[in-house]
Amino acid sequence: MKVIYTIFAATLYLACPSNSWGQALSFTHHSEMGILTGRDDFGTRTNFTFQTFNGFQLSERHAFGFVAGLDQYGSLSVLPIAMGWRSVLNPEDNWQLYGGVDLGFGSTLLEPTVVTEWNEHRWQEGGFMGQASIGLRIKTGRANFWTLSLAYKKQKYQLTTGNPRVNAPDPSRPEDWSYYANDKITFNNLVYRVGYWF
Amino acid sequence: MKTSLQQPFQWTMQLVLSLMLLLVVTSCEDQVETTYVYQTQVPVFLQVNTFREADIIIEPGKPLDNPGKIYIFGDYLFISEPGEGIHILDNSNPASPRNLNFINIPGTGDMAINENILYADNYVDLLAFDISDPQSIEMVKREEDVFPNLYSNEETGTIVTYKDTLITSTDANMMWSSWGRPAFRSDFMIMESMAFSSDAGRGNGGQSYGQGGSMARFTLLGGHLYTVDDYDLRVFNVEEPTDPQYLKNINLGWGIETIFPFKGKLFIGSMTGMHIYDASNPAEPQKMAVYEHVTSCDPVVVNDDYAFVTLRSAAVCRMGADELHVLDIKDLYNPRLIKSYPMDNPHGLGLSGDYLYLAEGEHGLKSFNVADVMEISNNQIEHLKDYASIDIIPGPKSLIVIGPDGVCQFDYSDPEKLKELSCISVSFR
Repeated sequence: MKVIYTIFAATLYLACPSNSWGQALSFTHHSEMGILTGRDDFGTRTNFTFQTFNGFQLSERHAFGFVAGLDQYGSLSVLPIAMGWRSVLNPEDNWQLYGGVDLGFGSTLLEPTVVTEWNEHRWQEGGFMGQASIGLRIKTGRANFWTLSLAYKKQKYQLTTGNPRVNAPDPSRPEDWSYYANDKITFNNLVYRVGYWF
Repeated sequence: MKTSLQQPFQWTMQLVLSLMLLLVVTSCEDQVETTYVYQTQVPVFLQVNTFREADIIIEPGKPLDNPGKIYIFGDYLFISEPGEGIHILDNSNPASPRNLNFINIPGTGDMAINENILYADNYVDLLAFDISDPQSIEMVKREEDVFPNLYSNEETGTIVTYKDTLITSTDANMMWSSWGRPAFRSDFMIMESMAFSSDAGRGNGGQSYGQGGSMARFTLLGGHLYTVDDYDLRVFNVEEPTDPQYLKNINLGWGIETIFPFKGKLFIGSMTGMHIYDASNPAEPQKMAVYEHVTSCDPVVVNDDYAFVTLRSAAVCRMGADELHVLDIKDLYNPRLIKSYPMDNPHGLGLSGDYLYLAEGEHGLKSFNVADVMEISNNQIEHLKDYASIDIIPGPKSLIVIGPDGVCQFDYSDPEKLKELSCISVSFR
């Protein structure tokens, strides 16, 4: 996590025009949507994903920035927030091959703690998110592209349910609960995406 | 140009693709790691002769760990430690109580003091101690097999007690209550609801509301000792204090919690209501009335005209309300609810003249003037939020407050303004 914070801070520092090298870096954006596919106990699952990359073009080949998005695993919504890096192999061609790596966190901000009528408490926590992707970038204008990509994405997530036995139970203290079940789930996804880069 | 581009291109492609293939092939399946943690009670079996043969040892004073009930005896305080024994404190100066001795009584629940005799339960037996000199206590009587509900097999002399235990498991079969994980997919509603119903069915079967074994609660009235446990009121003749005699057993239903004697009557608080028994013939208490209310936990205190009952919600008390009920008991055969007041989480109460002291659990300690029972909520005097409290005893020298953190004493000579005299804190926390 420390490493991630360091990169985060460095990116912020570089984003400040007065700190950047001589000439201002140009912005670049890449928005994609697609499907997450994986397998669980019940068979294959297919989920919706959307993400957008906003960053700086460090050089003709390399870009660095932030990734934010939404992954919808059934009724579970995860909001990934990450640092991302994009690199293009052959920027001079019309059909270009690119790769990217995103590292960060998937948040379950949209998932509230639920208390059922039987006083069962359920709460959810996000966790590490990481993905590596390769794709094709097809030039449509001077700096506008369509993209098609394939990625492998890992997302960690926790679901906890419990019946309290004290009045103000501490979610991290199993002693406060007469029943306490914690599921640590790692989603392993193969992701297919289409997107637009400008 | 073409070759110089193609070579690194092919090389990178091969590397990236093989890396991805490796990741995909090894682990494309979602990983699920589940741990279940249960707060449960594990049965512990014990032969009666093991504790009957063992001497009851008077140990030097030791720090309070989990104080239960308090008795005031002259200048001494007797503080029970459920399951462990009884602490004896010299309280001649309430501002600095001194820890004297500890009577080691395994499996004890409650105690009562009659003249110079202390009664305490020891699993299935009742013990009597001579405490006329608290510096040198002696056991004078063991009345055997008077609390037989702890027996799992009376013939072989095996009793069963339950020990709070935290069990951690990763076995999926251990799961009993959860609705099941949400399905992380949208094409899946039918199977999800199936999982839901089968889990729910299992849930009802495995549910248990343990209440820490069966621990008796004691009180004395008219030369008789009365004990209540989960179901029963037991009567002992203690007219000869050193020789308690078991007389009889009256079934009270379930969830019996507290017993309060007042003017020849026994007020018994249970999870379902308040029982009133006439003990004018102490050997034959007669049922006078039962006041039923919603299911919750409720201690009782009484004065000439009114009974004050607290209703508390807690995990073991089923679906309760947090309220103070005032009952008109001028006609003891027909107690009437005259008013109820909302409270935070009331536990024990103490009544001293027109002043009612109420333990609000983690929410502290409250005092009220109850001269006008219709206006109690408007006559709250103090709310000491820093003193987590469970029970309160208005003693001759001080108001004694028991809480999870220890035992505190207050000067209440001015009932409008409690003044802390001392606090004995428990050994850890």
